[in-house]
Amino acid sequence: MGSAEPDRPLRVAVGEDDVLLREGIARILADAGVEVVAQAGDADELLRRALAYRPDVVIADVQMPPRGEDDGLRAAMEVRRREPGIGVLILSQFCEPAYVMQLVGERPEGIGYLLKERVGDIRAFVDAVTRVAAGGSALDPEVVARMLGRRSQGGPLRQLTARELATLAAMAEGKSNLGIAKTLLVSQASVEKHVTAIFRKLRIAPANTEHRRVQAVLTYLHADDRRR
Amino acid sequence: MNRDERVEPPAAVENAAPELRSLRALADERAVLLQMAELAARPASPAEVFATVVTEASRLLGGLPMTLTHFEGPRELVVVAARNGQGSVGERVAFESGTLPDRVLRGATVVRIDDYAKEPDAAAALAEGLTAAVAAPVTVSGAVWGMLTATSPSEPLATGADEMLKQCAQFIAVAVGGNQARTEFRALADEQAALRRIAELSARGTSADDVLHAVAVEGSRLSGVDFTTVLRYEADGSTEIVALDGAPAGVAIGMRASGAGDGAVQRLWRTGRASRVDDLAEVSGRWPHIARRAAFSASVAAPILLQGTLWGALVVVSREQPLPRGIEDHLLRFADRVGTAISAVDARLRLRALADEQAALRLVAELVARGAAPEEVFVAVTNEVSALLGDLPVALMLYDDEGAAVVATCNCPAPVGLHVPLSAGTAVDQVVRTGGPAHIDSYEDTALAGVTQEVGITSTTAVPITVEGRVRATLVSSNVDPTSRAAVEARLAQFAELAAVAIANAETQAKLTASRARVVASADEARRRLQRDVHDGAQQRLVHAVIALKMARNTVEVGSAAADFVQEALTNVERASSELRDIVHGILPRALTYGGLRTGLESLVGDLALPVDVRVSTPRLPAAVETTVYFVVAESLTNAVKHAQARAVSVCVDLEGDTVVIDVRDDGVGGADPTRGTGLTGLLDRIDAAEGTLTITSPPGDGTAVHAELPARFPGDRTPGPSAPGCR
Repeated sequence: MGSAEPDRPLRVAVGEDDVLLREGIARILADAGVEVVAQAGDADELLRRALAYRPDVVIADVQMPPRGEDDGLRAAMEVRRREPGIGVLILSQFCEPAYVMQLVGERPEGIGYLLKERVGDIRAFVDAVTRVAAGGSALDPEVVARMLGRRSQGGPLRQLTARELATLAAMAEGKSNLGIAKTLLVSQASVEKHVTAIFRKLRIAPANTEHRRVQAVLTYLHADDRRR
Repeated sequence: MNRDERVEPPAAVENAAPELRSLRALADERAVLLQMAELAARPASPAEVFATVVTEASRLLGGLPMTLTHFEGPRELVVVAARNGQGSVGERVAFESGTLPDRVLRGATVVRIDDYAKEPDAAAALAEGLTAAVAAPVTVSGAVWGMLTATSPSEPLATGADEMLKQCAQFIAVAVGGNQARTEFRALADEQAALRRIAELSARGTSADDVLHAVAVEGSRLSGVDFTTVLRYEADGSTEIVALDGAPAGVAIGMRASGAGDGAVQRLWRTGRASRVDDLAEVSGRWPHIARRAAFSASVAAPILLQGTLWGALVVVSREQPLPRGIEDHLLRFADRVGTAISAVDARLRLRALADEQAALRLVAELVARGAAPEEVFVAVTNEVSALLGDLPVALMLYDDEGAAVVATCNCPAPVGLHVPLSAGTAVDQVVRTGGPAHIDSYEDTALAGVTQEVGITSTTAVPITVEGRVRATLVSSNVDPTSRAAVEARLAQFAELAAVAIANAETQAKLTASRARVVASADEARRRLQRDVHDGAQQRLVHAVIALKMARNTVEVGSAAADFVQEALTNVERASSELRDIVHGILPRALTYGGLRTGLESLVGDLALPVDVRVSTPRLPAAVETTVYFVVAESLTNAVKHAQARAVSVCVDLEGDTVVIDVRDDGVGGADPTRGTGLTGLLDRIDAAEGTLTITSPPGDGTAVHAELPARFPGDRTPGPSAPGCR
């Protein structure tokens, strides 16, 4: 993880069957200094090229040929299974937490799930790609909001205050402390206090910060599963 | 079902009432006569017998004067016993030629006077106050010893008086005649006892079978044989066994024989007279054949008449060869007397047969009306028909392209599942070719001779079961006696009609279910198409628009009017995109169609602010089934959230064999009413269309449990179920 070096441009592969959108994504990324090493219009092609070019991140649409079902998602997960170092950013027209759960598995490092229209927020999109490449996470706020609805009900998250839950949700989106502070309209110090409280309540052992954040998100995502 | 206990229609009881009254009177008379006979048969003093007979005879005639006189020469009588007037014991009376005593003495026969005014001694009678009289001779050793006379001061005596006096006179003769005659009359007493027992049974309303059985038992006892049967004649001279005593193995009530042959029963049918066979080996016919096979050697048949018409035969069969001479007279008298008892039960026999048939038809008709599966109806049809036909073999066979398969049987050697090809000469083939009934009277010299003989089938009667003009099945009965095959065919046809209705109903129902399933399936397919079309079309366009507007926003000057317009357009397009996403999700969740039940249901519960425990252990199922399961769970969850105030819900979807089992339980307030609200109602429709079942248990205060089961295959595409159980 965190294999992207500052002096080397990020390398990505893009899988999207809508040609206009695929070209658009490629241009946006190229303009932002990201190298698009491979493009594919169907899932099989994407899998082959991703394994051949070994990009930092695979960007994939969920629904793609050949079956026109969740082929893109499956291809991306297969890449991740075979090459754990490659990040996966899923683009989807669906606000579907079930896909996110499938994608995350036991390891929320280097994954992202964004609604397609976020691509237009160029900076946010490029940031997300960068975070995923660095082993972080980038979950769409709308998806996170849907998951938050059920996850506030029980499990280890019950001990968290509303503020701490909001902070955790923002962490899941992949936001930095500064980003969280801006979103929640609080000081960065307050955010740091919340984050520390989250780590303590979720009993996440001290380690490097990025790793602890990932652990927290994992706890958050799996809160329901533990109850089951 | 015990057919004897079946309640008869009230009309039958009403009709039988006068019959029963006269039977009771008869039983009463028999009892008195028996008493006398027993007295006479005992070595009692003649005086005692005279007194008893005169007293009882008077009582039986309602107290009329009764006199026993002894002839003391050709013109004089002496009174031996008297009751209620008419002379005193020891009194001597002279009589003239042509008067009552003269005619009795010379004719040795019963003499009746209905009007003394026409008699030679009219004046004397008038002086005594007599109007009518009946006198029976007391005959001892071939000579007229005396006479027993009943007189009436007003009306002529009842016709029954003749016979009664005759018998009483016989008892007196026994008392007078001593031991030798006594032995002879012991038999008479036995006969009286037998008749009394039978009359009592009839009067008590005992079942027809028991009365007839009593006749057979008494027949054996009186004639001293081992085997007695009562047969009833059909109009064509064929006979049916209605009662048995001491029957050898293989002989049963309900067995029939045609009128062919020259045995005692057949000869009786032709001549109307009692007839005997001294050596069964010399005669032909089914009954002699059966008797001979059971080591019997001789028989005598006596006619049983009903209102003067030959009704049946009392047949005694002996192993000793031949039966004693004179037994015919004995049996004749007995058979004559049992006619009255049988006339009462004959009506019951007929009514019972009719009631049995109606009850059987009703039972099957009710099954059909209830919409029972054809297989169940078929089993009922074969069972009922076989019972009505006296346990003959009955089978129901369904035609297919190659032949016919047995689907239900009763008492039939052919097993369920047996498939027979349509070979020429078989009843099954004839029925499907002609569309009408078919009869095979004999399999001898046919290709089927071997196999039919092996399983014990000698003949076949079959009728078609026709649905919408096509012969779909056949109802087959075997070993029907040729003489009764028209009646059997009529019975089979009635039940065949019910079976046809059952088939037609089931097919209509299947078509209806399939068409409902298609409606639901096509609605679901429309949802999937809409979801796909929106995804590939409008939604994609909107995504493009959002992206384009966001990029446009970057190119316009911040704070400019253009920037405001772009932002406004972006806000609207983003809202449209989001709304469209929600709409599509509501129509049919993406996760269900592409991820299957587990993913779909997890996505569903993800939207709820309620902890839901989801367990799905089914593999991918046909889309129509998954969609149904999804909506069952979704609607149950909606109910839990909206109405039940539940704190937790569990969802369990399992595959048990070919059935998907769904359980949704919550810990809410319960008391859910499926008749309220359209959600659960719509669910019922969906479940119905999928040929499933839905149970909602919702006791107030104790949560709600929704249990649904549905086939894990598309409705209408069903294979026949396992064959129904056989004959009861």
